[in-house]
This record gives sequence, structure tokens and C-alpha cells, in this order.
Amino acid sequence: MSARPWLLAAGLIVVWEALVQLLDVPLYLIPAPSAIAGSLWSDRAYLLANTPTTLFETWAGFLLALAIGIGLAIPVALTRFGEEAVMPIIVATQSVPKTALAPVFVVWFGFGFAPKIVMAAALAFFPIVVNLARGLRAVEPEIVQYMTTLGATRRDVFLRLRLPAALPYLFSAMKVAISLSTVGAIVGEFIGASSGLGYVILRAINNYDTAVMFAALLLVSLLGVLSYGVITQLEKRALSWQPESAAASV
Amino acid sequence: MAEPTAVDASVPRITLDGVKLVYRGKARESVAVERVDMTVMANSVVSVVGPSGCGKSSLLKVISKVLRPSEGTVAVDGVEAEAADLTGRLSFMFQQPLLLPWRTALDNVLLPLQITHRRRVGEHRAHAVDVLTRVGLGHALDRHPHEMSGGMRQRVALARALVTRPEILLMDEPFGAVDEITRESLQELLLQIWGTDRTTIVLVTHQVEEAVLLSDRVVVMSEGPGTVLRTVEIDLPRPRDAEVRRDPRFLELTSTLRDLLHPRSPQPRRAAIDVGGVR
Repeated sequence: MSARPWLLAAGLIVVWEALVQLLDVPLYLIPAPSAIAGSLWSDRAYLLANTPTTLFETWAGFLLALAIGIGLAIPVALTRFGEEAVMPIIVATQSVPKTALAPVFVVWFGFGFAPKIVMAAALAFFPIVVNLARGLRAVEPEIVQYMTTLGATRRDVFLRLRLPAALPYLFSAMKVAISLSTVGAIVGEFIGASSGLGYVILRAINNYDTAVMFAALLLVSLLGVLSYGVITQLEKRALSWQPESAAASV
Repeated sequence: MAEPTAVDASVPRITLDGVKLVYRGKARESVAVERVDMTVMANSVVSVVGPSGCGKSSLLKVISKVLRPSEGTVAVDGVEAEAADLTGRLSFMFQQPLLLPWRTALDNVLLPLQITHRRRVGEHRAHAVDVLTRVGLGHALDRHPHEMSGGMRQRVALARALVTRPEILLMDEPFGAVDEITRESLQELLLQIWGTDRTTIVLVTHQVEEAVLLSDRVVVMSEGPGTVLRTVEIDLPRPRDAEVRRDPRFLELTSTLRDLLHPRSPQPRRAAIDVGGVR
């Protein structure tokens, strides 16, 4: 990776710091990067104690979305009923603003991890269904016919052809999904939580402690980047057969 | 796996009797093939040539039971195809290699064995390596399709077709998508392989030279709906190699076939439209 994005980020931070100092912006409005760094350090125990909650909810929600997504994508891709009856309903659910359902999830699932995980999964499953279904169908009919002449069963065609062909689609969907499930976990924590970075953000805002809020925000972004990195690494292993250029463009 | 039974070349292996094939579309039916009688002797090479859309490829699908004839019968070794179990006895090769891009050359060649033999694939690995070596890819076992040229990919497809030791090899314009130099080396490879294996081959091609070079018999089909115009015996001596192209008899046979495909009369315009060579 080139050094340019790091240089640009460093430059922006310097400008931010300088502007806040020069214009004497009050701390509760926009904290200077130095103030955020200060609160990252002084509140490190508090911040770190709340990070695992969010990390857990994000990944649990993501895995739930993956299971639901795979479970829906297979019938949608391979059966007429799935394509004609199930898919339109899935698409229709996308017009519901799911973050608005967060209070309902609290009513249904209580104040524990469950409503956050459900929210994360609710946001993340859609790209998985759509992309995986597309990938499972993205095989040349000639290859299917060829395998059939060899005596392949539907199961053979699925396991040896459709599933590996769909993997690149699944991985690009997973990268979108992990970001969405992070958002879901935070939104879930906004509504009713006693721990987690979303809870930290909400509490800091109520106390006008903007520096802590930004520090927590920074940690959320860091979690997002790390989770994304994990999936990218998995993808590299699973799709090592792909030509370099194709793997990079996904 | 059973070795292919040694059958005398005078015994018919595939017999098509009055085969008619109708495609039923939503609005209308179209007749692809009309009353085709054809006999493929065991261990011989028969080519089918004809204008595009004459139903050449459909004939292969009928033989392999992908399509069922609307009328008439297909028999393999005297057993009606409907009843015969052709799994593992018959291989296909197409114009496109149809390789799985995530598999190496070796793993692509193992695919038919995985489907027919399930668990006992390990035993066949050495055989798959042998077959790849025979087609000249012993050095490229671990390459993925995107790391190979078009000709190499087609060699992998040929190895994949041969790895099951098929009694019957059905080839649908197998060298139609590669450049001329590659095509000639693939043709020579097929001659060599047939020389040792003596598989029964049905080859669909639009190339008259290819048909004459490789075949014992060429079936010329008319424009669609296809019927057999004529069957030409290729009496060039075997074993053959590329040198056969210089044989005066080779030229004679190719011109005979060309005249059948481009009749100057009575319908010169219709016949000249497309001999299948245009792409």
C-alpha cells in the first residue's frame, strides 16, 4: 500500500488540530485530535471494557446474517418458488427502515445481547442473499449440461460447481455485510444497553463529553476496519486460485 | 474400471435409425433433424459436417441421451440408448473447454472420476497425470485455466474426456475456437491418441479438411432440418499424420465434400449462405 493515504490523513489531522486551536472551538462542540487522544488514554480502561460487547454483537449478528442469507439464497437461486415468491418479499422488507425497528426489538428480545444481534443481522443479511443467489446462478448452462452427461446429481452440481462459483460473490457480500452489522450493533446499543461502544457514545453525548464520544467512534471504526481485514484475509485464502487482478477488483 | 472391450471394427457401435428431433418452443415447433440414419462402426471415427443449424450438435445430444429423439431410435452396441447405461462409457468435448476456473489442470481432469467414482478418486490420480502427460501437459498439472493458453485449455478438456477411458468420444467442434496452428497440433494429437486407444469417435465439425484428416467416414448433412445428404468413406491409409494433407486422394476427398456442401445447382444461393465456416 502506498504511503499517500496515511500522509493525507496525518495532514487532515494537523489541519483539524490547528483550526480548533486557532478558532478556539469549545471542547463540547468539536474536540481537537489531541483532546481525543487524551481521552483515549485517560479513559482507556472504560473504553476497552466496552469494546468486546460491540465486537461480539457485530460478529454474532454477522454470522446470523450469513446463516439466514445462505439459507434464503439457496432456494431463491435454485427453485422457482424461491425466485418468484420468496425473493419479492425479501426485496419488500428492504423498504422498511430497519433502524426504526430497534425499539420493537427491545420489546421482543429484552435488554441483553439479543436485540443488538438481531438488529445487526437484519441490516446485514440482504446483500448476502442477493449476491449469493446471483453467484449460485452464475454458472454456464453448458457446464451444468456437461456434468449431467457425466452422471452428476443435483447435489454434485451444487457442491462442485455452483458453490465454488458463488464464493467470490459471497465474499464481496460479506465485506458489505460486516460493515452493516457494525452499524446494527451500535444502533441496537443506542436504544437500550448498559455496555458497548454505542452505549458509551450515547452516555458521552448526554454528558457533553464529546472527546470521549469521538474516542469511542474511533474505536468503532477500528473494529470495522479489523473485521473487514479478517474477511479479506479469509477471501485471499479461499480464492487463491483467482488471477491477481480479479481478486483485487472484487 | 473395465477396459474397453476389443470390438471388431466391422461391428456397429452406434446406430441411428430414422431419428427425428423436434424442438418444442412456446409458440411453434422447429424440426432440427429429420429422418437421420447413421451407423458408427466400433473403433472408427465418423465426422458429421453440414451447414450451421443443420442439427449436427443435436445428433450428439441424442446419442448421449441429453435429448430424446421425437421419432426413431438410437442404439449403442445393439442396446437401445433409452435402456443402455452410458455413464462412464461416453465422453464429451466441446468447442469451449468448459473447465472449472478454480481447479488446476489435474483437478479438472479428475472431475469426471469424482462424479462417477466418488470415493476412489485417489487411485486414479496417477492415471490422470498420465493422460495429461500424453496430451503434452505433464509440466502444467498445477496451473489454473487462466494461466494457460486456449490450446492448453483445450488439451486439458481432451484429457478430461479421455480420463474415464471412454468407449465413445463425442466431439462438438472441439478445435473450432482455437487458431489454425493450435488446431493443427491438436488434430495431430487426436490422431496419435486414436492410434493407440482406438476409441469410437463422433466428431461434429464445419471444417472439411479436419473431417477428412481424422475420419474413416464423413456424414454430410443438408441444411436444417438436417437430413443425411451422403456418406463418404475416407479410404486414406492409417496411421495418418499431417503429411496426409499432401496426398492427392486427400484433395480429391475434400473437393468431393466441398461440392456436396456448396452445390452449384440447383439452389446455389441458399446453399452458399453459410457452410458453417463463417464465425
